[in-house]
Formats: sequence, C-alpha cells, structure tokens
Amino acid sequence: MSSVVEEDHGAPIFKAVSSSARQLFQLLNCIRFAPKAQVQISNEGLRFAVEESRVMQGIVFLDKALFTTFNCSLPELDPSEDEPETGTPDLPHFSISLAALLETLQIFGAADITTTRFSKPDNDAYGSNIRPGRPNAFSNQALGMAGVCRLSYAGIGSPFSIILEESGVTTTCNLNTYEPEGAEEIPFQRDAIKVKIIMQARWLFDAVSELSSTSPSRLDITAHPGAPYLSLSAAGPLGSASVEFAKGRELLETFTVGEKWTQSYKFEMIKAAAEAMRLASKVSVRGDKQGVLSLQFMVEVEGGGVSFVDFRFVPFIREEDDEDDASTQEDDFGEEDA
Amino acid sequence: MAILTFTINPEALGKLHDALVSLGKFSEAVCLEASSDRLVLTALNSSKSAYASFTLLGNKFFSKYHYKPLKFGNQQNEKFTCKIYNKALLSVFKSRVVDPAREKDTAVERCDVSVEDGEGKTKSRFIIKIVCRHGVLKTYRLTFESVAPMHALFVKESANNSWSISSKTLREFVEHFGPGTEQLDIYSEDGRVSFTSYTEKIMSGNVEILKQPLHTTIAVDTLEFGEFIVEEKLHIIISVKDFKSIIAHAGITNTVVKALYSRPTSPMQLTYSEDGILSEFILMTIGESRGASATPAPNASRTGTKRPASRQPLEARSSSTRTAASGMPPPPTTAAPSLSREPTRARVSRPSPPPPQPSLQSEALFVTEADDDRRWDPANFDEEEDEMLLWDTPGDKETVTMNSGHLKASENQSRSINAQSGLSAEDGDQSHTIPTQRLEPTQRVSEVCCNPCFVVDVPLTLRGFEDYLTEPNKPSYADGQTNQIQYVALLALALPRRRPQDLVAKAPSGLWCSCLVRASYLL
Repeated sequence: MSSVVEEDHGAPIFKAVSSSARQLFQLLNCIRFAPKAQVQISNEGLRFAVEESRVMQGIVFLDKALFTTFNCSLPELDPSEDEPETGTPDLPHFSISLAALLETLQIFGAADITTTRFSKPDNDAYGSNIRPGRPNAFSNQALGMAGVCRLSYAGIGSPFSIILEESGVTTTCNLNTYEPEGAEEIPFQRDAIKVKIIMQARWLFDAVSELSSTSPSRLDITAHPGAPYLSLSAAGPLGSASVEFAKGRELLETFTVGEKWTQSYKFEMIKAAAEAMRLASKVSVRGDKQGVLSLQFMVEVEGGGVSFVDFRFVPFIREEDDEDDASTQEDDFGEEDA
Repeated sequence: MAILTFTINPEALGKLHDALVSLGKFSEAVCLEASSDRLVLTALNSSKSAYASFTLLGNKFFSKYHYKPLKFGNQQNEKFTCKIYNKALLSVFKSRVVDPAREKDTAVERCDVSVEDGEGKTKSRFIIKIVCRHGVLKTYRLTFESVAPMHALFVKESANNSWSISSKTLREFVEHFGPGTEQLDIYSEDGRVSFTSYTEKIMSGNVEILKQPLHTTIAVDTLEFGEFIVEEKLHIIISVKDFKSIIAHAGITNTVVKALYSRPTSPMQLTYSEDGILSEFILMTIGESRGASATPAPNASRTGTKRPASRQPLEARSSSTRTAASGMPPPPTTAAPSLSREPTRARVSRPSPPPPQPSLQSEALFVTEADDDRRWDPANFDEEEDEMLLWDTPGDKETVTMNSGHLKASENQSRSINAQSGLSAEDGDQSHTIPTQRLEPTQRVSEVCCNPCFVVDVPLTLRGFEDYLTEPNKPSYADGQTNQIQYVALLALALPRRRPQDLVAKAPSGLWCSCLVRASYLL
C-alpha cells in the first residue's frame, strides 16, 4: 500500500475544481441518511454510495460536468474504463465520513437553512416546501461572491482534501479516508421490471409528506394498470391515509404497468429520500419482479446540467397476517397479493 | 353506511383548520357532535375550567351537508357524537391555507368527509377525502372514539354583565400580556376598564423565591367597547392563557367579541360569529367578591339552605402569596386549581346526600354522563411538579399556595366535626408529621393517585386530618363524605411545612373552609 502512496506523491490521482460547493452539497445532502459514504473516482466523475442495513441504498453521481476542471489520472492502466457501476478494483475506492464532508461543503453557507435537514419539511410544513434549488436574491452566488471549491485525492491512504475559497478566505479540509466497505449493490433486475412510472418528484414528495402525518411504519405502494393507477398508502395508530394519483394520464409522464403490483417498504426509509424528492424535478419509479424499488431522481442543478440520484429499497416480505390489522387499506389489496 | 357526509370548499377548509388549531389549545381531543343542521366541534380542557365550541352551520359553512341518523330498532339517534385526536385532524387539514397561491399543482379542490359507523361489517371511521388538482386523491381514515361530549352550560339570563369589542382591539391588548402571567383581571371603574395580567406563581425552589411577577395593566375607555354594561368595581379574573387562545382565533378576522358574565366564580362566556361559524367559549372565573359586590345576591337568597351560606373571603393565604400579591388585585389562589374549583366541587359533593344540589349556575356548569374517572382528569402537572417535590422539606413553606378561597360548609356539619376533632392550633404540627405509609392500604389513595386535582369541602383543621386518617370510616363521616375526608387527610400531608399557626390562625376552629390542594403532591 505504501508503495502506491509514494508513487502518487507527485501528482494526485484526482483533482477537480468546482465553481461552487453548493451544487455538490445539494446533491450529497440527498443521501445523508447514513454516516459513511463509499466513494469511487472514475474518469467520468465521483460516485458516492450510501447504504443502510443492506435494505436501502442511495447513490449520487457527481458528473464531471459539474466541475469546471476535472482531472483524473488513474494510477493503473485502463484509462478507457468509464463504467463506474462495475466497481472495477482499478478505480480508486475508499470510504469517507459523509457528515464531515457535508459539514465542510457548507462552511461558507452553501446550504440554506431549509435544506440542511431532510426532516425539516415536516416541521414547518409548506413553508420550507418551495423547491430549494432556486437562487436566493441574497445568496453569495447572486451577490457575485461565489467561491471556488477544489477537491483532490492523492491515492490510497491519503486524505480527501477540499479547499474552499470564498472572498479571500481559504479553508483547507483534509478528510480521512477509510478502507472501502465491500457493499454489494441491492440487486435490481432490469430485465424483470414490472412497473415503470415517471412523474414529477414534487408529487411524490407531497404524497410522502402527506402520509407521514399518520406516523406510519410501513408504506404500501400499489400500481394498477387502470384507475387509480398509482396509490401510496400507510396506516398508523391514528388511522390510515392514502394518496391516489387517479388521473394517471395527466400526472404520470410514463406509466408502464402490466398487472397490479403491490409492495410495502419501511416508511422511514422512503422518507429518507424526501430531500431528493424535494430537490429533483422528475422521478422514475421502478419496481422489479422481486419487489425491489428503484427511485431515480433527476436533479437539475444550478448552472445547467442534470444529475441523478438513485435510491433502491428492499421490500418487506408480505404476509397475510400483516394485513389483519384494522386498517381498511390493506384489506383491499392484501388478499390478491399473497 | 355513512351517517354523516359533508363537503368543504377550500376556503372553509382554512377556517376549519383555524378552528381546530384553536381547539387544540384547550384539549388534545376534539369532540364532534353532528345533528341535522349543524356540526359542533368542542374541546374541554383537562382541568375543566375552559370550554371551546365551534358550531359549523350545515347550510352556510359547508357546501353540502347531510346527516342521516343511525337507527337502533325504532329509536333514532338525534345526534352523532364522537371524539377524535386533534393531532390527526390537524395533520389532515394542516395549513393548506398557504399553498394555493404558491403551489398551484397541489391546491385542494374539494374536501369530502364522511363518517361511517355501524354494527357488523361496517368499519367505524372518519373518512376524509381531499381532491387536489390533477386528480390526486388523498384519503384519510381516522379512528374515532364514540363518546358523548361534555358541554359547558352557560345561563345567559343570569349574566348581568356584558361587553362587546372588536376582536382586533382585543388582539392588540393581548399582545401586551407577558408570557409568564397567568391571570387576567378585568375591572371597571369610572368609565375605564383595566385588563390586568399578572401571576402569583413564585419561581420554584427556595433560591429564586419571590421573583417579581410581571404585572401589566391596560386601561381602556369604555367608549372603545361597542357595548358596556358592567357592574362597577367588579373584579373578574380569568386565565390569561385561555383568553389569549381565544383572541388568537378571534383576531384572525375582524369580528365583534361579546362577553357575558355574572360574578366571580361563575362562568364567563365569550362569543363571536362569522360566515357560518359560531364560536363560543366558556371560561371559569375566579376572584373574590369584595367591596360593593361582596355579598352576592344569588348567594344571599340561599342563606337558609344547608349549603354554605355565603362566600366570605377567607384570609388564609400563604405568606408568600401575600407578599407577591401586595399592590395587585388580590385573588389568592393559583390559576389552575382555582379555575377548576367550581365544576369539580359540584362533582365531588355529588355522592353525598346531605348537601343540596348546587343551584348556582357555576356549579351546573358541566352536565354530562361522564363516568367517574373523567372527573379526575389530570390538571397541570408541570405546573405542580416543583411544589410536589418540596412538600417534605422544611424550608419551602412558600412554595405551595394552599389557599382556602372561601368558607363553605354547612354549619351543622362543621359543628359535628368540631366536636370530634377538638381543634386547637397547637395540635396542628402533628398532622404534618403523619407518615405517608399510613395511607397505603386505603383504596382511596389509588384513586387519588390518578386524580391529582380536586376540591373538597371539609373543615380545615389540622387535628381533624389526623383523625380522619386514623379512622377513615368513622360513622359520623359516613354520609357519603368519607372520600372527601380522606382526601383532605391526604391533602393535609401534602401541605408543606407551613407554620401551623399561620394556617390555623387563619382558619379558626369552628369554621369550615373549602380547601383546594392538589393531591399529586403525594406521589
């Protein structure tokens, strides 16, 4: 290992400059549900993966288009390797404290108050509900005080360093990197997709925040080929709630559902993706044969360009006895499902 | 089978939300009562000292309203009543008020509510369907508890004092009342009305004793009022918090708030209405009848009865209270217990045959078929805790305001007690030292445990307490008052080590006092 470090001492294997930490922050903030992120550097960009209990996974890919300069001189051969998903061992791979990284990125107030915590929207309901990406008249960007953010990584064992410069103040942060945890991806069967819906992320966000009022533990997602097309429901101690997107044609941009599909997921986990729902403009909801849910969010970042934030969720095993409780919702589709 | 169905348009939805927020300041749960032409939402606070009700008129407030009563055999239920946890309703009707302007996409178009209840297969649910733009349909199925609500009664005929004023004006007043204050004294003299907010609460602990309580007086010319017919120099005292809650709602729109009341310790009614919502609040008032109004007319007519003849102000006040209250309107009791005094006393004395049914309007405040547990809803625990923990230590005489507000008990009762307990001031100490374990075996203790706030009418003699404690079932007390006596015995223990002379001197032997203590001190 040490040899690698020495080898790379001269030039870091990765160097990138971004005109603002804000976009990076916004994207990474979507997956802040776990403390550590697995980072993979490729020629195409940076990939941050976060997972929780192997049942929820969030991936943010910071495309090189987000950076004004992006240099990645991979130590090994194979510079044509451009599939970050494959997880080739050649690519620099390490894990990093996500909380610390986010903290660093917002040193100059990259985050406005409303976006710092994804749990926030519940507290002050619709006040903070306005799409956060919009520039504020008094933000640093608008005032022409935009800073520069440099990222660099020398190689295995060396820290991930971030240098922020803003109106004459320079902050250098070196974040320790750790051995990567060999997290496998949640398998999503692309060839056995049962449901594919593209809709405005905003509506998904509304639906989820609506359902959270009953403080449920489980979220049931049902897709029908006909009306009511897509319905989300949840039952809590105070009763149950459901949101139906009944006029599918107007609401759902793409809607491909062969037959009725119902799965339930842990509500808290879906809610952990709320920040992405808030930030994104569109979401693609896909479900495969086994019930794995994939949510792909398309985020339009300031200054053009589109980034994607991916989530995958493993469903609850559905059993008949689960449906026995008094809530009306489940009974409707519980039987056919088992 | 839907018993009740109604439709609310987005505008009314906002108003419903406001009403629910207002009800939420009184109680955690909202009682709904539907009849053929109206839906009434009510809330009663835990100490039963404040009651809020909003009547939504079927044809004015709702765009559709239909009530189809449930039939039991050939009997029809005139009304459908249920109780829902307010938090659930609030989250359903949450501030969508804000969003139509900003987020057109999710604006509410219509809200349909139906209540299903019935035997067998029908599930009892309060179903709210909110139809948003683009056909997004949000459905909530809330569980509810099927109980009859408690209503506060207010006899308008006997309310000889009334005033009305714009809600905006009141809102301006309310802004000046400090956050630490508890009581609001309304007093008029020479064409000026003073609203005084103050507190008698002493900051807890021995160290911080006697922090100067905040005291704000707003004097207003009676010309500000639309109508003002009030007895001169009458002090009427209500809770600032409740008043603020009411005005917070009334102040949303510019309306006229009308107040009606008779005299201290009788309820005060505040009403206003707009666009199909009739709002009514009934607050308990406290205060002493003093000066010109010292001998209340309604009481005077009852001197012949066995009930306490008159409500003379009792001097027994804790020394701290006296200090704190000097130079301010004097009601000696703390807010929470005092407010609950009237209704609770009415309840406590119910099982005992000898005291005649109270005929004062205040005592008829709450008519309901509530079970016994209800009577003992916990009162403001947080307010008490400091006091509770301190009763055993010798230094904190000042922390409990055990104020005996009024003398009340029939004379013959007092005589019999006196004979037995052989009162003397010096004996007082002993009762303080009675160990708590003596209480354990009685069933009453457990009752007390869950019933932290109540009022009893028994002689406040310390010696007496001891007697009760040792022989709780003495036949002489057996006429239904045993419970009360035991409670008082507990209360005696609960008293901090106030100098016994104080207490006894102020409650000379032979007199019956109404004592008002929170038994939760014991726990």
